[in-house]
Amino acid sequence: MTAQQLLQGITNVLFVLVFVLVVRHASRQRSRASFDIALFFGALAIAVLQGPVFQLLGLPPNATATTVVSILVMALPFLMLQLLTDFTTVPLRARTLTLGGIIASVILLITLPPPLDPMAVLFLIAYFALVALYTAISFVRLASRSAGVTKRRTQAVALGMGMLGLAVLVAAVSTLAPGSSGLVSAVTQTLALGAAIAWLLGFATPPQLRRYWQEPELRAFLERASTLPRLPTTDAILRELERGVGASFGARAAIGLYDETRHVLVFDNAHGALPNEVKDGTGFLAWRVFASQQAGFFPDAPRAHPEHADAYRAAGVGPVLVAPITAGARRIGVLEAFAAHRPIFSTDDLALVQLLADQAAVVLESRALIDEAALVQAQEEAARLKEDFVSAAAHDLKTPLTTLLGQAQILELRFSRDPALAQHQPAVSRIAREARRLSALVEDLLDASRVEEGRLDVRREPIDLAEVVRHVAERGRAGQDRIVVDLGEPLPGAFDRRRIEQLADNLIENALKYSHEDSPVEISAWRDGDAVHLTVRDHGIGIPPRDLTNVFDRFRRASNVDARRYSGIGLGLYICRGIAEEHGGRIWAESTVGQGSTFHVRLPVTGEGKLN
Amino acid sequence: MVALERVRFASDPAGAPPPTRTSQAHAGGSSIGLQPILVVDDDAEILAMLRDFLESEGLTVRTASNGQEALDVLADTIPSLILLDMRMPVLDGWDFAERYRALALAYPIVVMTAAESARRWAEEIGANGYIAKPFDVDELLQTIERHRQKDSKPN
Repeated sequence: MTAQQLLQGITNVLFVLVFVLVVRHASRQRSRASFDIALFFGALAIAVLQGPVFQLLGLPPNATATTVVSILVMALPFLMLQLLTDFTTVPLRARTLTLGGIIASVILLITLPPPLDPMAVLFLIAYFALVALYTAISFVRLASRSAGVTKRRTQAVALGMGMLGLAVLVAAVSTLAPGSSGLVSAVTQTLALGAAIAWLLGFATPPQLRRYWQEPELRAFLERASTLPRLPTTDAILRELERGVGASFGARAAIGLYDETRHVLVFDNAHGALPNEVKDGTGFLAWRVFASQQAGFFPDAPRAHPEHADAYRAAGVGPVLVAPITAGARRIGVLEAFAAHRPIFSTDDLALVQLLADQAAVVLESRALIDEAALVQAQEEAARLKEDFVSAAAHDLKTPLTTLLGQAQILELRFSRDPALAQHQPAVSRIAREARRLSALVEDLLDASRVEEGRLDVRREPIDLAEVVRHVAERGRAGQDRIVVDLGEPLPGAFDRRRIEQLADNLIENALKYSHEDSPVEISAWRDGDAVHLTVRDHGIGIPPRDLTNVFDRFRRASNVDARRYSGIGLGLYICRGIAEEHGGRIWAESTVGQGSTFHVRLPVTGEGKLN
Repeated sequence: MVALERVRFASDPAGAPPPTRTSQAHAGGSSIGLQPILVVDDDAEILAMLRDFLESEGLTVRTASNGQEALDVLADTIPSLILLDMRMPVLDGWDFAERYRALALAYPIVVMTAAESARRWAEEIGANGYIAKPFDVDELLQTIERHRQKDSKPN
């Protein structure tokens, strides 16, 4: 076996291999393109296998067989062009000429007896080479419009077509100059082998090579993607993602985000191919994929969604690739790529579009997290500003209040000393009392804002808690002999005297306020292990069970409190809780509606509590 | 500030801050001493009210609307107590306290402020006590009485 025979053998084996692979592919994914590809390689395989098979079977060269093979070979240019029409628009003139060419070739091959007239051979060669080169150039142009793996594969196909065309042209030289047959044959064989390899790479790309070709596009996309979440707006991110996906496919891309409240997919930039809102039940490919959560390839969008065909055609949309954008269980939207013509390799592109959609999901999720973080920050900022405002406003209220309260009390004092003015005393006392109330209210607002910010500023000093509570209770008893105090032994500990007074005062005041004038308010405190326990009990209106915990929230009052009857803004218990917690203790309430409430405060004695 | 002072003094029944002796006569034999209380506050209403009230309680009063004015008053006055607001223009309570200490003066100081940090600020400047605005007037009187310098006798 000569080197040339070996070359030919390898070439033939490769052609057959490509045929087997494309048939396998066509059987998995039925489409016109894969059928046309299989047909082309089928013809080629029969043409190259006929000789060796006859040889193997020991059959003599057969004229009919030779004619059939020749016709099959001459059908190749037509099949090539047919294949081309699956990927791009082929002018009618080219298709007509090719059809005319094959008819003429078949007539020539059947009518003229072999050996063929050199002029006929020249015609056949010229026809074959012309169509092969035309197809090659068309594929080159197609490649320049696409990107990524598709581009590489299209280039490989174009190379194969070109080499086949050249091989035929070179073969023609031997016909014109018979002396050079050895060299010509070697060159032809080499070109044929080249075509076989190129087609193998183009039509049946090994997965490793596919990944290798995919890598630069993917890397570029990912590099871009990593910076996307920091873009100022989600819209800007969407446009960049669409641009990146489009570049990866050599197509146009659009992202539709799912609006949960309206149950629609919102497209801002669908290139006129889709409405801005794609609704459920409208048959849109985007919605079908979104609903099924399975990426889909639609070789012909107008045919797949006939109701919308005119709009697809107007927008120049042929094949469509759609992939769901999903982060875990969260369905974010869909990614849709529109191509004017069918990209060659739909399975690869399907995997790629899903990969890009997944990446888009990551980008959009990151963005959502950034937005969420910013929102939380803004809320915190707003809360802080509100606290600052309350605090500043309360301070500014204090200065005029100082004069108001002071002056009222001075007048009260003077009126009390002068019998001539005594009749006015109640009036001025009323002013003084209200000024004091206003002042207490401002102090409560400030305290509430301190509790909110966790800076109640507890200053511990050794005190007798029993004595402090007794003092407060006695002060409260001035006009109310219904306060019953049960305080036994001293309860020494490190507490903030002023805050404990405030706490006891608030609880006693509440108990008096929300109970009948005749009913007792019972105060007791005792040592319980490492803590002191204080209770204030009334027999008043009580607190509904559902409010037992939230009465301690800011501006919250029990739902059975008639605001017109009982004044208050709902800060007292909030401040009490703050005081208890700043002391490392806690406060809670037990109550039966209509029978009364008991407030418990438990403060650790040994624990340091929260010391600021 | 000068204009404000003038207005305030003009509206004052006495026409001007009464000198110690006049004040003593006005106090009408009160047991309270003769050395004035120096009230420092940038709020004119508070100053006017305190002057009116403390004088009616038999005390003599000098007023200043910021730390600088207070230092000026101290140049020719020995107060029995300084009631000191902290946040004031020109010279605030802290800067006043610093210059005051530099002058080796040691009259009792009671910080009088609306801020929640009254107690801490009082400690910061080494004051003898504090009173938070708004206050009850009897509480103010008690505080003054507690801290006022009583051992110096008028000549």
